[in-house]
Amino acid sequence: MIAESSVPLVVLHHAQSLADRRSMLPPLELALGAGVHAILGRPEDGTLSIAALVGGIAGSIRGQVIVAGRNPVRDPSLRAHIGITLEQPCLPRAGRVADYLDHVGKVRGDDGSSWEQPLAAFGLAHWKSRRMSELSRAEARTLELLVAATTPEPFAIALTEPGADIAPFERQAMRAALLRAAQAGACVMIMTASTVDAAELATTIQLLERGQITRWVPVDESAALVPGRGTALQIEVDLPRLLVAALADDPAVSGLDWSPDGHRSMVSIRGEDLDQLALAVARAAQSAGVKVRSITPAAPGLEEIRAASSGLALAAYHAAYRAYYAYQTQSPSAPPPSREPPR
Amino acid sequence: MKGFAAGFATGRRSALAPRPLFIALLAVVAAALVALAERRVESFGATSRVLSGFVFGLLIPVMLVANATRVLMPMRLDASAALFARFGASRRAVALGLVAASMCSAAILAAILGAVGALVAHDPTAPPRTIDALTTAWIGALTGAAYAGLYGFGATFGRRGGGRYWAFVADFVLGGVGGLGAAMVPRAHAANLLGGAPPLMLSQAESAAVLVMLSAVLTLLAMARLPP
Repeated sequence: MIAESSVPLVVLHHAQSLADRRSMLPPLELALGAGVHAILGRPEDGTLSIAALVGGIAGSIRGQVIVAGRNPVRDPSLRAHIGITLEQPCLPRAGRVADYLDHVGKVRGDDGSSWEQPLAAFGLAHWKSRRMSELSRAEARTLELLVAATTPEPFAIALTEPGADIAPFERQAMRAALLRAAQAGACVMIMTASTVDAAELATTIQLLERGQITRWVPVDESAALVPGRGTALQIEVDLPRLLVAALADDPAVSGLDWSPDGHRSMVSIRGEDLDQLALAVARAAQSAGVKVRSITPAAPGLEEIRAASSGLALAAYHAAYRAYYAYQTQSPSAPPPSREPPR
Repeated sequence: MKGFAAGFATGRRSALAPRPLFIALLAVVAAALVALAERRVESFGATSRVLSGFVFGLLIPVMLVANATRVLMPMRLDASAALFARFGASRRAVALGLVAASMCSAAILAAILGAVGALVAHDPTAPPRTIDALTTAWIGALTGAAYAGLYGFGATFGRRGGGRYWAFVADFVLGGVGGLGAAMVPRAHAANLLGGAPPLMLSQAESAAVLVMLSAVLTLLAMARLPP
């Protein structure tokens, strides 16, 4: 378990690149310490701009971008310790993969031979002799991901949608590399709109709305993003009707969703506790004699989380309004309560 | 130095890829065919006509803007430099490597095109064939390097480095009207070295020096426009 540092390592203060201003995207405001953070949001919230700003690829026309106390645009030595992937891969189209990795290694100060091991660990050892011009967009993004995840002594690693449009590779190796970097004190940021990717790769989930972090939770407590939703499991079985019948009376299951039309082999169940739900499935599968093909936790969607956040904000507003109204009724001449936001 | 090496190697690979080499070969064939046609039409003055007209007037500028787009990549120069600058190299070092590769390939290509034009269109009024080809080759090399500097500087303008096309147009327009404007673009100096009208009454040696200066100054200006 990684202890998230409270000391900000990456600070974006009202930061906005020229391209963002042209696209009318909001300025970015965030401060993150060491750890693996999923920045959960949509492109219009600014998720696609963060990596370019943090990596010093794009300069901020206003505000500040600070990584480890320095500006990455103006400090090449700092950029050597920042790994990024962008929405559009930024790779040369000439030469072979091995040539590119050699150059990257030399620029970073390695001898170039250190690429063999990461390539093999990612399951991409056969890519060495491939031409860069032959790589598809997904393959180029995967190569960028490998290069970013293996940044030496990183201060920050910022990955843009690492689960989308990616060629097949050993994801566990990437996860391990990111965790190692975070343990060494790096701020790893995973910008994504997918709660599944966020839960898979990160240790905290930061909700980005219109350029600002509005809420954050440890990934273990991601159910708190949608209060009252509980936890959910998706189960794929050979005989769903029998499983549904067996689960219907289980006290651990508070909700059950199955449709005979469409994906008829998929059953979705909800409850308060993930372990209790899994045990309930095991009991039901055994008693009904069905074969479970897969069982996965169902993460809430981004829209669901957004709706819950709006509900929480509205509830907080109403609570504050009621408190203020009650205060005014009791002592009309008293000054208004503190401007501290309601907790 | 590592940034320069990475930029130069990437630029060199881009220039030596099969497709640009094939296009360069087509350009050489085109230069030879036009030179042959000029010689068939009128033998006297064929060398001057083909070099000042088709080869240096049209083919070399067009081929070199395509070469610059290929080597510096179809984007702004700072974005091209970010290929390796993101790993800790200075943008200026990487960009200098790319521009140097563009200059080398442009100089070689222009020298070959010029020499082929001189060899094929050789006429009785021209100096001996070998001397004529070698002289045209070094004029081509100088002109090519100056064009590469111009297009490298142009690539620092525009969202996708479209300034290089404005530089191409400016060379056509200014190089043809004479005066101070002509002295600032490679076309007029190349024409002077080939025996045409000199810009601002400069001698051929001065025009050659201006071409060298244009290559260096425009490259330095391009570097100055990039962040570290």
